[in-house]
Amino acid sequence: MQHEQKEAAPQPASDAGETDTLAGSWGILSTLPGHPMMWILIVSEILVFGGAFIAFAGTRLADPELFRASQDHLDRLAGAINTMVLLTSGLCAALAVNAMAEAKVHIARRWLAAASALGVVFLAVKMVEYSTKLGAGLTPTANSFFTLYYLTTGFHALHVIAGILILAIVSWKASLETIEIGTTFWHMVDLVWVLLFPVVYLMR
Amino acid sequence: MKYETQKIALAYFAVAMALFAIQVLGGLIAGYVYVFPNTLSELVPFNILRMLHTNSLIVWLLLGFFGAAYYLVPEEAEREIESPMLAYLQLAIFVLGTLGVVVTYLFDLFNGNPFLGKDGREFLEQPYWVKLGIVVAALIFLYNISMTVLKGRKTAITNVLLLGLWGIAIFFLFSLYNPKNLVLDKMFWWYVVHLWVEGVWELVMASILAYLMLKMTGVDREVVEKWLYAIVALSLFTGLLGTGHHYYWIGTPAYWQWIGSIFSSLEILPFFAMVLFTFTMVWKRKREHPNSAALLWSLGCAVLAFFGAGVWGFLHTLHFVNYYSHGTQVTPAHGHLAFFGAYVSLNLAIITYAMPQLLGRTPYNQVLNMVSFWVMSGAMAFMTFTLTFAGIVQTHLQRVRGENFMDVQDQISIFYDMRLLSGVIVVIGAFLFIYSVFVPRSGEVIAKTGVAPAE
Amino acid sequence: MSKTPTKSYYPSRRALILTWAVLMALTIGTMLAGRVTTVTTLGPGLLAVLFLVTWAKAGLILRQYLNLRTVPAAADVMMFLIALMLVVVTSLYMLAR
Repeated sequence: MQHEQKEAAPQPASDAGETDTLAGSWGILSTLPGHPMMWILIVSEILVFGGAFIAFAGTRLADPELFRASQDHLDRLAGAINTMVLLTSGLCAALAVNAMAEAKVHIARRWLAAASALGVVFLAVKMVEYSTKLGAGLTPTANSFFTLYYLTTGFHALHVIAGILILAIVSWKASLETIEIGTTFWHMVDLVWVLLFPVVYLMR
Repeated sequence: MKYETQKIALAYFAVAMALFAIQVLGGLIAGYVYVFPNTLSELVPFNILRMLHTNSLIVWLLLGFFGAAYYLVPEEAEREIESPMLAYLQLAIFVLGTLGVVVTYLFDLFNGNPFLGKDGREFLEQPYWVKLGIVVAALIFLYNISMTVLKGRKTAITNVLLLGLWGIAIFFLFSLYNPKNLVLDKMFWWYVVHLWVEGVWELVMASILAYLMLKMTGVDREVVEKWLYAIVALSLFTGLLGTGHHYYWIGTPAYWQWIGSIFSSLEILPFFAMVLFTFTMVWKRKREHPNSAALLWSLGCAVLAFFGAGVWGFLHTLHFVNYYSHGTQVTPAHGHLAFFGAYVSLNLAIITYAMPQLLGRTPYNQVLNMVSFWVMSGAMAFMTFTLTFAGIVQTHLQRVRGENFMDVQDQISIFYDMRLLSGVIVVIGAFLFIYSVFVPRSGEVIAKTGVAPAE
Repeated sequence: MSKTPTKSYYPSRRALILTWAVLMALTIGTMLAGRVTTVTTLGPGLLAVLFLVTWAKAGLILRQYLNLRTVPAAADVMMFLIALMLVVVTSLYMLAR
């Protein structure tokens, strides 16, 4: 572009479009619910987990029999129950935002606490699953299936723990904005599990 | 230039450019050795040449970062640097350490001495006393810059820059720890090597680019800051766990193969974001800055980093690809374009921007500077292609067909010839650049722009 | 934040509870299609059902819980990304049957 001859004088600020206002400095991302940075994180997370699921399906190609036999060791019913737990927890989180929009901060906090409590239930079920597997000698290095099983579910479980912390923080510093941002993270964790469950536990 | 202490940058840039010259000359000789293998084999063996080439690169890039910090922090913090004396002391320590390194390498002094002799780890070959000197110099630097920022105006640019510079210092501490266990040795070694160039250096890069965009395009700080935050988030999100792509074959557990593959595949994102950022800012610019050469280097930096670090990195980052390509010429292909695109170009951009102001002149020899961009970038791109082809052929012959290493080297020698040729041109470009920024002209040569300086 | 969080900006309590009920029903669909309690393999038909149910659940979470119904273009982008991932995964599963 340095070869172009620019004769025009500097444009007045008003011509530069929507980026001039404070609110619009995130460009099109400003319209998203919650904070734009949270959405950058969500898309990144979807890419990471999506990559892991594709890795899972791709690795299975090399030895479908090993994957089928290993997957039968998973507790599919526990996974289904956990799906329901997280989806219900998501409802609580959404109701917290709803209450906060009506400036009912106590009710909002109660819903956030309920959402976190269900997050703890999820983790408890997960721990039971892990301990059964580990007790049977099915460790992360047992085979390629279990390496990926522990990686994807473990990474997700870390996000549940992080989510509970985030919900606690936004409950403490409660405002419509903070609660909306915090619950956005929580729904992302929910969404990832909804995708993870059929791919890792069910498809066979 | 509004602040007197910004002048400190001049000394840093001058030393950096001297080392840049030594670095490319070292590279040229090393490229020559590839073609005529017995050259200097008794006097300066290839491994020493390579050490000089890589070590001088790292040191001059760091000096460039320090210089950039001393240049931009006063303007951002709106006050003078805390202590110019300490800044020059820091530079003196670096120069002394660099001389110590060069002398120790060339004459292999104190061989085997754990404190005075050279260390055995690749890229961290510096004698222990030099490493300690670097730590001391880094502490002086961080004190100086942090105090300046803390007492002055805090901006997103200085915050991110400080985060990056503190990260550089903290991760360097791992170079002092050299476990006996070879697996642990390599694992911590990457804490320096990877977490520098694919972690905290990216933060420095993003903040300097943001500063350049802010100054040259006149786009609102608000907008620049948002981009900066997004880029930083992407760098850390992908780069930290991306370390896993170095843990495939060193004895670490197998799950690193997937952590490394998945996260490092996404390392392309921050570089892509930097391309979008620089081009969007230039597209939405509100002024025509007279220093077109600096703008060219900034845009070139983003684009070449995207290809060199992003695309060429992705080429061999998946573990099932790397299983075959590991340690072939694909690696130097990526290494050369990534370092040139991301960090060399970044330094040359800030130097091109700052030098006219440090020397109190309007941009001069701008056309020559821009010619040097195209010469260096073109030659470096050509070098990358030749090494990539060499690497692909090598991978096939050596890793797939199982031929002997030296037999394969004979078959890919044509690529080394072409690489030497492109290396000569890179060196010419580097000298053109140094000449264009340092040597004054009687008549100014300025690219045509319509508008008065904006500062 | 530029938007004005009026009451209608967020889904109503009723809409959220309805969303949750449908998500629960779809999860039962997932359990049936995925044959949760049976050791067996799934045919292409069940895999396709599983795919569609999962995609529908993702859509509800995105549009209602995450409130992307206020930015339909963003919802479409996310739905496309997820569909792409599911198509790749399902195809890879089909390949090794």
